[in-house]
Amino acid sequence: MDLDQWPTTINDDENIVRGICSPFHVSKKGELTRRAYDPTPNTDEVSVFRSDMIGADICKQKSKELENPTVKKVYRGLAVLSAKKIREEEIDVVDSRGHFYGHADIKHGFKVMAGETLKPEILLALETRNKKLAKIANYHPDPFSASSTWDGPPLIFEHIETDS
Amino acid sequence: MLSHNLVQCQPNIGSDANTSSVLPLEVTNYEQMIFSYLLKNKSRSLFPTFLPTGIKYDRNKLKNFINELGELESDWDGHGGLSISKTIINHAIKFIDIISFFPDLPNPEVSPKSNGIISFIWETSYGEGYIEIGNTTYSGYLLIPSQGNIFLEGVANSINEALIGDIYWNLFQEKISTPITRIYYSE
Repeated sequence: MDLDQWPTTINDDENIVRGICSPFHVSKKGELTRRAYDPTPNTDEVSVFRSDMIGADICKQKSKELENPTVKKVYRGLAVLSAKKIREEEIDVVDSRGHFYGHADIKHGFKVMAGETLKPEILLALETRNKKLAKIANYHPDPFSASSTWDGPPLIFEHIETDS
Repeated sequence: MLSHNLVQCQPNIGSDANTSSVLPLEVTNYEQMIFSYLLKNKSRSLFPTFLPTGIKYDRNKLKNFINELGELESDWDGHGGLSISKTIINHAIKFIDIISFFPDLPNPEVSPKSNGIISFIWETSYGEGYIEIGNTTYSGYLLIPSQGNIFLEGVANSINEALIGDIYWNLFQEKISTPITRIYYSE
């Protein structure tokens, strides 16, 4: 299907991918941290990809465009969620193809403002949600980060039960 | 919002009425915590325990890390992350100085946030303590399943020992079953 034929509505079963480029978004244990789903400043949006629409290679290439090794910003891998799991946290994920075809945004519903803290009640909601998203996301460190193709596991969300 | 509950206490020198000195004092949770700690650690002196030695946990390393966060350039996360102001770095360093008054309090997990502020997180079996510091304010919470949520907020430069004492008390200290409402001094 041509990209412009894809519906703007994101189905619950679509896979939603976040490019991970910051050392602060992965713990020393190699796990995704809650900081990986912080909104872009002055917005309520978290940039993600519709991987079913553009494919894993494009997800990787777009993520690698974000890196800048001179400032220790190195592409590390991709984190996969489903639209359904995101929506279960009472937030939405919407198509934003104005950036490029395949771009989408998780919408937290409240903006984080530059240099300022949130009200604690809102903060608790955001942190609880981010912690949950980071925990259930399937984070795949890229085994061949230098290449332009994705050679890791399929970018298909799989819910994994955890103890806590 | 967290209120540092004040507890009216009347020092009463033993049971001897002649030596009784009824001077109302206001005791904060922080002071309750110190008092409880002393009760449980009778052989230990107050001052060696609460001096800002930072020996058990390396606070200097934490400060160095925070100073490194001050060198982050814009878009450090590839998603538009903002650099962190000198003002916030100074607030964060002061925060660590206050934490240092509690040598048994582990270092928090420190992270930059995309909007150019810094978060501090402690997670224990009791719950989670979270503080974030911005240019003008701090905000946070204590998430204690057995007690409910306590919300924390204020002016950034108003963070003090009482706030950290609440975190320490709620996340790292054994709970006493009865709150202290009166302190009796005895010879």
